[in-house]
Amino acid sequence: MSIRFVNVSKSFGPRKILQNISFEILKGEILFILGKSGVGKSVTLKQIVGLMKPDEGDIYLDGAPISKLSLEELAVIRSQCGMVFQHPALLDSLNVFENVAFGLGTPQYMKTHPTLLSQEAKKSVVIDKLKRVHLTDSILERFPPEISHGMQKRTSIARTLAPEPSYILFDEPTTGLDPITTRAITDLIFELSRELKITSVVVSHDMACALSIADRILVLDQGEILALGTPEEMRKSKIPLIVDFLSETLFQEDEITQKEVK
Amino acid sequence: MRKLSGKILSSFFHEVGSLTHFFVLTIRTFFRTQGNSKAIMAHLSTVFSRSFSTVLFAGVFVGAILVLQFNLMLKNFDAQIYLGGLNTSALVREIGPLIISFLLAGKIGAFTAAELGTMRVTEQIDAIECLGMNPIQYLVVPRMISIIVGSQFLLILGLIIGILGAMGIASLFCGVNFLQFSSSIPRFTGIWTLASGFFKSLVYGIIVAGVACYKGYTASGGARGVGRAVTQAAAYICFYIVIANFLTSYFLDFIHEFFNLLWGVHTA
Amino acid sequence: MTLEVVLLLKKITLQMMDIFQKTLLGQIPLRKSEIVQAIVSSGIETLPIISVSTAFTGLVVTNEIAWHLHESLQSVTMMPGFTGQFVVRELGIAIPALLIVANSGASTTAEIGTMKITDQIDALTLLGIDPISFLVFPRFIASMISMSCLIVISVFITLICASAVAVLKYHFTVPEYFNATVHFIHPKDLVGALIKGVVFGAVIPIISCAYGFQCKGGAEGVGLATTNSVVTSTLTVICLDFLLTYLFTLLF
Repeated sequence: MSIRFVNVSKSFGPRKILQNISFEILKGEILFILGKSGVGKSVTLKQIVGLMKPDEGDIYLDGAPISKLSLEELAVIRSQCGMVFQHPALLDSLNVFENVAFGLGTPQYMKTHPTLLSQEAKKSVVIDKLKRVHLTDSILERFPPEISHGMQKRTSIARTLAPEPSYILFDEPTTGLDPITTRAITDLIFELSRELKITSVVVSHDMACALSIADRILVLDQGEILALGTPEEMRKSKIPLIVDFLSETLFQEDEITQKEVK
Repeated sequence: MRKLSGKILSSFFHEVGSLTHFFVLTIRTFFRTQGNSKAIMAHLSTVFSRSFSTVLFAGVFVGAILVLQFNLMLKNFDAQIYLGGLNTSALVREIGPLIISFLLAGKIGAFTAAELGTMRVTEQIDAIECLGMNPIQYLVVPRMISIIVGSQFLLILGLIIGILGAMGIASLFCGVNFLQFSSSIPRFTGIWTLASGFFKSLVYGIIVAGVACYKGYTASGGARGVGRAVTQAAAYICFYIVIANFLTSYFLDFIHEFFNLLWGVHTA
Repeated sequence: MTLEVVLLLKKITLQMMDIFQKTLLGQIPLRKSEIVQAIVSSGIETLPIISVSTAFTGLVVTNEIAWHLHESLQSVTMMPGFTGQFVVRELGIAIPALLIVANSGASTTAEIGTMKITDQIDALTLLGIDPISFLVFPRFIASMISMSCLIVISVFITLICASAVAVLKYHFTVPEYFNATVHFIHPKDLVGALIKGVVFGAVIPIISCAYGFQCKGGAEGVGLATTNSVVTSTLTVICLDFLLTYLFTLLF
């Protein structure tokens, strides 16, 4: 039960994004994929759910090769594998309730969960999931543009949680948020992974977040894996890029401690 | 120069090919999956509420322009008795559907491309796909159906208003009153003229729906990408409509002559 | 159309007239290179699409007019005159004008709208450059020049294609058709076509730029602004076409 990348390569025209990448995501862990902008972090993530196909190699999700599946088989895989997008990607024409319940109304899900057909049953699931992400049911009737950015992000996580996936992929969950909301979302990811025993893959360029909650960290640079290891190993690393990333975090931590001293 | 024109031609055929592929995919999805009549009705009402007043406005002016031009020409030949018939026939067969569907290219086509393009670049379409729903079934099919159906009604409405507008202008500026105007209509406008007008409208409606959805659905690259999708939707729809105008015109001519040969019946 | 757009339209139009006047008086140097660039981007790039479309229109128009003449007079001898007048006065102008609205008008709005929401317009203002005169004026001049050229080109292409059909399908000889067409087209029709071209060319960039400048929000805003700009320009062109046609019938 894991996600395995085997010799995956991907390029857009002349630009090589990923070159011969192989690694494994273990059951129940929180894996952070770090790297500078444009090194193919999001591409890596989108390949897992089949939104993009690798040029060479393949990704095996619980042993099934993603790029060789038919649309119907992909739908089964996708019901176990949720994705939280960089933009909240809530559907503007639907209110919060309909957005969160969206994954419960798909043909695939209705086939496997015939008990959830009624509106009441859906509503209780939606409220339960909103509670999980620390939102109240008072926003059920509101539309995405009417709620704050942090709330949109939480709603989008609740929507991903609704079909009860065993994997969740986060695409830059904290980009563009203020530090306080960033902290809260990071804590939420940790909480969900531990309590629901969900495997989380987080794409980010926030080393501080990664160090605080990740089980393992994968650093991508120029289409290749630069390093893969636990936060402890990262702290001891001598690789220049990682040292740069770390110094940025240390600077922030220094600032915080200084403030506390004052 | 030859290399350049070759490149333009090959990219054009590539474009037409992927457009056709997208259209066929949508049609196949439409027949294979359960339709969502509620969504279709909702989109149909958007199509109407967006375009109703503009189509009325444009229809009047198109009729008016035509009547002025035909009046000038017919005066030379002393044949103003034909004004009503000639004007109505030209409006229904040719100019009306053409100009009004240019307007629909902006009003509905560009709007749909903007809507779908925004959903694409803010990853809403990816999210729908990830949650296990087929985005073509959920987003594209209802839009395409409602645009094709809605544009028919709008074009017919525009043509009727165009004829009325032409009548008004003719009696105001050209000294041809309502009675004279309408008396010559039946001579030129028969079943065949109406049928060609409707056939053209149907083809133009399909072009507006197909190109708009395709351009919006395949948008990429942030705000700039949405802008590009909308621009291309408007430009390509107009271009394809002009070409379709030519093809349908000659196709209908061929059918008409074929019928004449077959039965020797002469229908206007 | 919102009030904001109307006010912007007024502001831009007044400013264009002001700059135009000052340029004519020699108070402001004419930025030739930018105008040439704008002509290339608005005129030359749309030339292929306009040529192909008008060629197809020409092929259709003969057929339609022949059908009508056959219905009313049972002969097609009047065809050259009818076709020539209809193309020069109306069809050869309206079709390219509407295609240019959809092509360069829409892309102008999309471009300026993107600049607006990515704060590039504000950056220009901070650098001490007036965004309206910097962005709009070259397009304004270029559009008037390229539009009148495109209309002349498209009228000729339409006429050539129309005569090709007449020769091939309706058995006219080339000199016969040519003489008949020339006989029915007056120089004043050509002047009218040019006037229409210049007017449309002046109006389209002003409307497109105004919609670009009032663009708000993210990707959605750019899409909506472009849509509205195309619709408004199309309607304006249709209305102006009617008004100018009426004016010409009174004047000529």
